[in-house]
Amino acid sequence: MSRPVFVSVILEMSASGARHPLEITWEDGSRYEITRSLYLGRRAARSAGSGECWLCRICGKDLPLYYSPLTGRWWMDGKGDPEPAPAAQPYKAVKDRGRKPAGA
Amino acid sequence: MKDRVILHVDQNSFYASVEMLGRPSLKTVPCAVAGDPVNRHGIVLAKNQLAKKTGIKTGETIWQAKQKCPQLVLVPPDYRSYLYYSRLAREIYRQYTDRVESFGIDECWMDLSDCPRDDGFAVAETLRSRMKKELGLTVSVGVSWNKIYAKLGSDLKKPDATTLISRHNYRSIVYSRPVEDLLYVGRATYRKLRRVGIRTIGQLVAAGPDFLRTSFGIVGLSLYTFAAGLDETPVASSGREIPIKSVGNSITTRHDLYTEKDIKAVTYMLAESVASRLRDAGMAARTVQVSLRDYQLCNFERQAPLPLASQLCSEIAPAAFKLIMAHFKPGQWIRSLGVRACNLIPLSKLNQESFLPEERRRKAVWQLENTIDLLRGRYGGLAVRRGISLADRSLTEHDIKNENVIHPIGFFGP
Repeated sequence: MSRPVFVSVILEMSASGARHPLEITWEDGSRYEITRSLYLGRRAARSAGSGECWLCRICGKDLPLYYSPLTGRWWMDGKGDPEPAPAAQPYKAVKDRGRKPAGA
Repeated sequence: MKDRVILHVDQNSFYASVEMLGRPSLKTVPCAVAGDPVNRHGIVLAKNQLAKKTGIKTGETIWQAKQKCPQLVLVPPDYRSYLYYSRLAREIYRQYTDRVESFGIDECWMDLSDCPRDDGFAVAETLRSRMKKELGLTVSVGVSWNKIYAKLGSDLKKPDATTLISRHNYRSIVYSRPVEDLLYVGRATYRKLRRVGIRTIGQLVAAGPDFLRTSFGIVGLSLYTFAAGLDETPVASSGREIPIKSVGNSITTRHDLYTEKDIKAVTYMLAESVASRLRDAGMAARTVQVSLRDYQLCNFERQAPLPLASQLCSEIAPAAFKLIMAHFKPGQWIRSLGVRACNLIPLSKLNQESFLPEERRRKAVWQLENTIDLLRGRYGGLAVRRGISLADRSLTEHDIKNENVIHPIGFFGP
């Protein structure tokens, strides 16, 4: 199982407009240098969502790093269970303020 | 002549799939995307496979769905995400052909004839795997030589499947299908067809064009063309400009309208959006149309000519309000209200300088309304508001113009 871990990223923007992630900060505050990155285009993440994807070499391992232009957030696939599904709410009738009362 | 190669791509349970993409745990529970019951939009817009198994149907009210499945998890719709993923999907389709025609937010036709890669089935398989790999969404694809069979094909196998309907197999696949599977056979047509003993598409074809023409008129002929695979409607090029025939907005209000003041506030709010959209399009309206639905869900529409072609809220709104009040009976409660400007002409045909005081006044009003448009464009639709809209904010707290969603145009064009 995997869950999305949102990370902060230090990014280099080249003169040609290409983006190279240089460093990420994991949720526990530890920082990791990215020694090499390769842009893969759009990819669906194993954990959740889809976005632009870079294959980043971190501590000798090639790991995908995702960016969603929709939310502006960066994330990686982390270990652990995903956030549980919300519980179903019992149906609560909403008073229709507009319904014509009998005899009106 | 070589047959056309047409694909119909349908994104499976689109709204629900986008929600499950962001929160994968929703895949493990029956889940549906539904509107807000407080605003009286409480219907199921999309549901996942688990919810589908319990018999929940799109368009059902929340209480009906909850009766079928009390564990149903409801998620509010997020149109921004849906539009975003819809655009990304179309970007992928456009890499294969420039003829991509949207049919709603989650369906598209593609015409691959004369394209370097015109093996429809192979492209469909590539599309399916790319959509899964790149967007994380599944699609059903129908491949055929006409739009109708392609659409039928995409509905046959769901989710995540390709159906090929070719000249060799169409009789065995299509003809045995129930007639209501055909595009444009809705409830009313279905009832009429059943009355003459037509239940399958094969029986519709066997009935022949002459019989259908005499029984159903021109529609019967269209149905025959659709059913027999003779439809030759082209797939429109992407980015094609569709001529605007009318501009309208409507709303189901949070509570029914029965006082003149409430009706006026909502009419002005709708007319403001209509007028602003007319100005954006550079069109002027010669007719104003109103549509009403009362608390018993009874609809009616009325229209009236405007004395001068106009794109001003200050002329459209009073005309619409007058029209409503002329047909509004005391004791009637309005649930939903719509204002539409039609019989449009381009403004360029009207732009004649006039020194008449009336024309100069109109010009000043035009400038005023244009300035309000600019302010709203910069600071949001609710930045400048009419005093009347403050009386009951629950009715008028809407940015109608920006919340406006363009619905798919009909198969036969606008």
